[in-house]
Amino acid sequence: MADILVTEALTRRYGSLVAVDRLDLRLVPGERRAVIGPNGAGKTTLLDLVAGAIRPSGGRIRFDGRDITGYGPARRARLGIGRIHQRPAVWPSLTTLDNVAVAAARRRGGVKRSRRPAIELLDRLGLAGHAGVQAERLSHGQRRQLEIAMALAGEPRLLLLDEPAAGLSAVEFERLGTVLRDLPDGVTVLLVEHRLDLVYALADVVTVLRDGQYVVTGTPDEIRVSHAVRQAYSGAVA
Amino acid sequence: MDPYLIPALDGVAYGLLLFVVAAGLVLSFGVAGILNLAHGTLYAIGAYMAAWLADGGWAAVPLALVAGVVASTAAGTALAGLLTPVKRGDHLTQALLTFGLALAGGSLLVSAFGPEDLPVRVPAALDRPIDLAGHPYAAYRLVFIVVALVIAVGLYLAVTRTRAGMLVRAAVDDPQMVACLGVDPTRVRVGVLAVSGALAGLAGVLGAPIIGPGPSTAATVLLLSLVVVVLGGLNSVGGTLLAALAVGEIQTIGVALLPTTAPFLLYAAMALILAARARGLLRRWSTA
Amino acid sequence: MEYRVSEQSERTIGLGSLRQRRLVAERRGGVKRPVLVLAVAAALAAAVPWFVDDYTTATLSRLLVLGLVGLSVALLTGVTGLPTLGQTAPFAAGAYAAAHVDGPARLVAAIGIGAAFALVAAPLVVYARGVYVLMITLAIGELAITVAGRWKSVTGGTDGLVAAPALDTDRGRYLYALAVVGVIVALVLLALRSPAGLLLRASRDDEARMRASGHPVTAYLTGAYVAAGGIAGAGGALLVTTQQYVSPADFSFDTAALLLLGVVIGGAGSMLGAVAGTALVFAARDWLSGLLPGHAPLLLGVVFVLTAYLLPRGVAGFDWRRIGRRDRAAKGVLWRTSS
Repeated sequence: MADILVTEALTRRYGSLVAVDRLDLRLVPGERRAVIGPNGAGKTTLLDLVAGAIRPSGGRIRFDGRDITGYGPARRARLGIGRIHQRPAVWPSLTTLDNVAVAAARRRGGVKRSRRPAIELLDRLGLAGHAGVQAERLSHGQRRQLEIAMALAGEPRLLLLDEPAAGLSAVEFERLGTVLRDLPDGVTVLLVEHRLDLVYALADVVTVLRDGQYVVTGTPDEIRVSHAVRQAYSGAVA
Repeated sequence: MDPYLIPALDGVAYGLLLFVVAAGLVLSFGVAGILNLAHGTLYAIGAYMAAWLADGGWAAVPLALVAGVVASTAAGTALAGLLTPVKRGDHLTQALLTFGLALAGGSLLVSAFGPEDLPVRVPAALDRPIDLAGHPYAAYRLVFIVVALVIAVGLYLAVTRTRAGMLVRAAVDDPQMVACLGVDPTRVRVGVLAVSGALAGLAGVLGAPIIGPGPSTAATVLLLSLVVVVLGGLNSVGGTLLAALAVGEIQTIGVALLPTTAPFLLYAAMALILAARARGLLRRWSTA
Repeated sequence: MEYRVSEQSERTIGLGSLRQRRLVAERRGGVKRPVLVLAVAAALAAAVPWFVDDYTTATLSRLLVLGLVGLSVALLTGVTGLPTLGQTAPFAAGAYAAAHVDGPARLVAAIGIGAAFALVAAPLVVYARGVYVLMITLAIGELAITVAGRWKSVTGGTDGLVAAPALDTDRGRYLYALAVVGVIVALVLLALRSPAGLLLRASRDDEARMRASGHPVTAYLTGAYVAAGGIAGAGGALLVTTQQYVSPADFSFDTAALLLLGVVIGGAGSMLGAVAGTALVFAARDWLSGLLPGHAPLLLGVVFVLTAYLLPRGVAGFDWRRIGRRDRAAKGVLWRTSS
């Protein structure tokens, strides 16, 4: 089966700081890949690069065989790349329902047609009761779940999740786990997360980064005991 | 000799004048995040002081300089105080507030000095033409060019070599950093607007023979320096200088070369440059 | 637009009595109230000319015209997040176009020219962020005045143009202006309740999130800018019809600033508020000029300052201080280029 996402020597520099350093990644369709690493490892930058929010300084990105390096974020979204951000990005002046409807609109052919599927999505995330509420009145955890609904509304083939569990209550965390586990099989997930319990519960494969560089990839069990990973986190000089 | 030498030199003088003025705007906007629509009024204060105090003698020059710079610095400081309740980044409120102050200030200036454009008496020794490659050229403007260059170099050194300058550049790059460094935002605002006022006032006094005091001075200066800021960006002294010189040349040589279309020229140039940048953006998107 | 979600139970037949929750969104609120307000206001306004003299009627006509341009400013500033000091430009374009055309085609021509102008200027505006939009639109507005003052063959230069009269009485002109303004306001209100309004508001709130959902934000902004240009152009046609004369003095920077002030006072997110606020501001300016000739700028300046301090939410409750922040991390940078 062809890889759904390939990065080739993907690099992003900020002046003399190399945030992502010649990273090669391959994800197969349906894979649940987690990216972990200490702070400054370049994890969020990686997601920004794949989503098209920032442009790479070098390297290429291929999605489903197509070279998308030059594509903007909207075009990538229409191809089926969805994301959620580290700080939940919702539209505060719209209602919760309209947030999801607008997010689904490009996929479903308009806002009006998106409202019914939007309610169903909200229900799955436990937000149906807040459908008529303006999003700016939602709590952090609710906004996080709203953004997840918005990302799912676009029926993504590749879902980029940036610390989705941050700031969630125990109940919300459970629900998040359920939603992610219940994703259709064809959906690939690239997850950046600090909470290792979510990583071990959800991921098939874990990649470790440090200082923008690739360290190692393996199953969660392998990573758990890996010497290289411990070195990466401990800050030992290589 | 080249018939455009004179307008070209005029363009340099005009451009350097705009540079000093725009530097103040870049400072207040880039460092303190303040859109100051009263900046032109600060220039006008300096220009009016020059018109009022200059009597053709040399003694009046330092007097006018001190009076103009002190007055505009004081006005800038007062501006900073009045902006205290406005949140950083709330540009619309800043625009309304400073525009209101510009209106009021302009009205006060006209009440004090009359509604006419005022002539400025340059020291007699400089108030004569110098022979420049066969063309007569006002001596004052030559002296002004030299002085303005010195100021420009001084600004450049201040921004790149001093600690304060480093803070300024860092603040332009990352406004949040200023707060993290433990620098009091109020002091930053007051300091920045005071210096910005001083620069505008200095430009006003020295540049009064070029852009003189009158009821429309503040608006003209404001608009031109806004164009310089938009074209030159906030990131480098060199960028601002280039943009200022470009605007200066367009306003002078442009008028000489294409007198009928000259007024459009500036805006057409601005449109072209912005459009080129925008298309550049299409190829190189990125988010903040 | 509010939705209330309610539960409806369904029984599934066959495998026992499983109740299924089916969620239904019912629209609440609807269009009734604003339409009612609009209708009452229009009826009252239509009756006015029979109670005041011709001069006042003519003044009110002019206020209506400016209110319409203020509507275009509010559409951009409040709804789309493009704070503008440059709607005087399509206003002028429409007005000068209207001065050359007679009859019913006048309004159509003005709207078309206003929109066309906006289409050409759009690339300069829609790629900018926050305060740079203010600066760029300011420059565009100034350009319009400069062109108007110099392009003698088309605009008559600083002398202006006299236009053929279309209607005979001040009352007639007023009612015509009222009708046009009323129809346009109603159309805009309808449009804003539609998905188009949602898309614009969402783009204003968080553009990056819009793009992450596949929306072509630049296209939306351009559409709004062109629509605003058309509305301002319509104002230009009304200006010519009510005043029979147009000159660059009608489009000064002061006018642009007062439009913005009026919109802010009326509450930038409210279309009706914007029209009312704009009319109020210009009426106040005229009154102040009459009261203390020569000192009007001073008093006006004080009004600007007071508004900045005292009206964070405008009259209609919209927090306009958020305007111009296109996304959560807006830094007021012109164009962020990757370094």
